[in-house]
Amino acid sequence: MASDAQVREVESLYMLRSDILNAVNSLRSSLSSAAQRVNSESSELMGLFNEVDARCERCKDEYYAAQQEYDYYCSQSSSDPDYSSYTESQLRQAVENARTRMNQAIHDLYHAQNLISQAQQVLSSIQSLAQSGAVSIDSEASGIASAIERAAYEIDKYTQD
Amino acid sequence: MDSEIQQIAENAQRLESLSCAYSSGWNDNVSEKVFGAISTLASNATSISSQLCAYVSILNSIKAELSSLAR
Repeated sequence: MASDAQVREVESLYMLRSDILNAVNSLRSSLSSAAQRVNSESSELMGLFNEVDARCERCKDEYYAAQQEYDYYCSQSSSDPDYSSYTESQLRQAVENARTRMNQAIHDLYHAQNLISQAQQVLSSIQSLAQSGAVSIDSEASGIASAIERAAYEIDKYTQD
Repeated sequence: MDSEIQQIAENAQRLESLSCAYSSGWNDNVSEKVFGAISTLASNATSISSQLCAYVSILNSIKAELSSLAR
């Protein structure tokens, strides 16, 4: 006949198993969610990269437009000195400013490409860690559940003997 | 991602608390097999949470830098 203490011991073990499995399930769910978030993080980063790319394209367009305006001024002012309200030096300065902005934007774009490459490595590491973590936690949790089962069985058996 | 890491850390803490809450009063054989394993599991979960936290910190700084380049 099992004593009250032995019954409580077995019940406590099964309660522990249940609590552990709940915590492990919650842990697995968080890891799975972290692995899934990698895709949305990747999309967000690509969105930011595309904005840098778009800014670079705008700066290129502005430079080409300023250069065209300057070239056109030069071609027209030779025949009509009063062609534009801008002076040649103002337009040349505008071209130089646009060229500086374009060069900076191209530099920023290369930097953004480098950052995206680093981010992809980090995201890959996160995914890998979340997946391998889930596998090892599953294995450890399974081992714990088995150990609890065995312990409860031994107590039961000891009680019956 | 921050909320997932927070949950992982909380669950690791929960496992450790469970191990402590249940561990008193058992014979050595049960303690060694069960509570040692739970403690290892909690420690591994904490380690995963810390590593994820470090990765996310790098990711956030990359995101902030990209945002400033996009402006």
